[in-house]
Amino acid sequence: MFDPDRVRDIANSDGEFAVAARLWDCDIRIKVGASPYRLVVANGRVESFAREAAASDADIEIAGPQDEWEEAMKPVPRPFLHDLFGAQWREHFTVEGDMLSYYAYYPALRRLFEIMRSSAQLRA
Amino acid sequence: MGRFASAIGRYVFLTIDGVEYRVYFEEAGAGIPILLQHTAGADGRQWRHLLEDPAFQRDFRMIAYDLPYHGKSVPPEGIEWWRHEYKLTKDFLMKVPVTLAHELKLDRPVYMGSSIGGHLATDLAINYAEEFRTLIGLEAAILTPGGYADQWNHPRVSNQFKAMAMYGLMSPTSPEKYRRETAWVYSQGAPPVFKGDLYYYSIDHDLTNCAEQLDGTRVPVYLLTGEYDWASTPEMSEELARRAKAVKYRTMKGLGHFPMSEDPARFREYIAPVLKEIKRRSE
Repeated sequence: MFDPDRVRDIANSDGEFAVAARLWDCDIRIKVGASPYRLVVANGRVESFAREAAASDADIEIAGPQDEWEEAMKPVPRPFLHDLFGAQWREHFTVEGDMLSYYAYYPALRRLFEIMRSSAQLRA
Repeated sequence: MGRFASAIGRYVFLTIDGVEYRVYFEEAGAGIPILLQHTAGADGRQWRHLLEDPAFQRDFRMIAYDLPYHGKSVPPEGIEWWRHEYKLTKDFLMKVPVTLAHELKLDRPVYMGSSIGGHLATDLAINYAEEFRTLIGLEAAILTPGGYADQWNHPRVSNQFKAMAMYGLMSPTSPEKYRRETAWVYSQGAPPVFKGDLYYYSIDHDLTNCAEQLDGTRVPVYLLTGEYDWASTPEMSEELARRAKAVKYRTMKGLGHFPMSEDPARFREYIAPVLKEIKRRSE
């Protein structure tokens, strides 16, 4: 599974993420099965990414079953779990909250998804 | 002298429903004519690799066109198009390759298209079979609902959203340089066009009650769909082929929604045998 500390460090030194996340402030809850994580983006940088101790409001929540997250984090996932939209359309991922912000910053979130995958490989 | 690509571009005027459109196309090769239709919100550049293939150039006159409002085919001068929401209909879309074939005086061309172009292959097979030699539908299905949505043309969402959403429709094994190029083309479409094209993709194309009319004995029809295409999945294309008559279907392993542009070499492995069959039938 992804490594939150590594994700934060990689994202903050990643050129594509920096371009896509410019001017972005957002609190994102990422739920892996029953485990929630909180990712805070401030002015286009990942300020923090860690397990969420207590539930609080988030701007966007991305959730998926544990087994689908594990598949999605593989170097070459099976079809449809290779992509956030594919995981929503054809698998069991859900996205809720400020959908306009989600669409506007989808390029940054998509890149973050890739960075999470690469952190999972480093951890493995 | 500089080094030139094979494709040569020019414009042709098409009159459809009383409106004249100045339509751009690029072509390469000589022989059996083949019309190449791009995906929603994109343009004929998606076919640039096929056009440069020397083996295909020997047997086929490959013609990749930009639909009106796409690429270099600017909107028509004869109507106040800016007063209406852009919306691509089945009736209009079918008339584009049919009218283009007439204006270029092509003898029953082959038609190949992806996504909206794949759906169009099936609509042409049902409604204009006599006009074509063979129809090839990439990423085609009976229907693909859910795509005609406001986020694809929202004042607070940039074109980069479309580009990166399309990036995810490609196979993770396709070369990154070509996935990026495919997405780049998407970032260049006029803002209302992608959503307007999805009107055809998600609403106006619907074979739910008439898939059995797709008859490969009237005109040969091939369907091929990329393994990683979550918009029109292999399962959906297979279902269409099952309900149709004498239609050949094949899943393209390691490819997604944009086979011709995301991984031209892998796509070649799948399309070369089809073109070979067409050539043999034409001899």
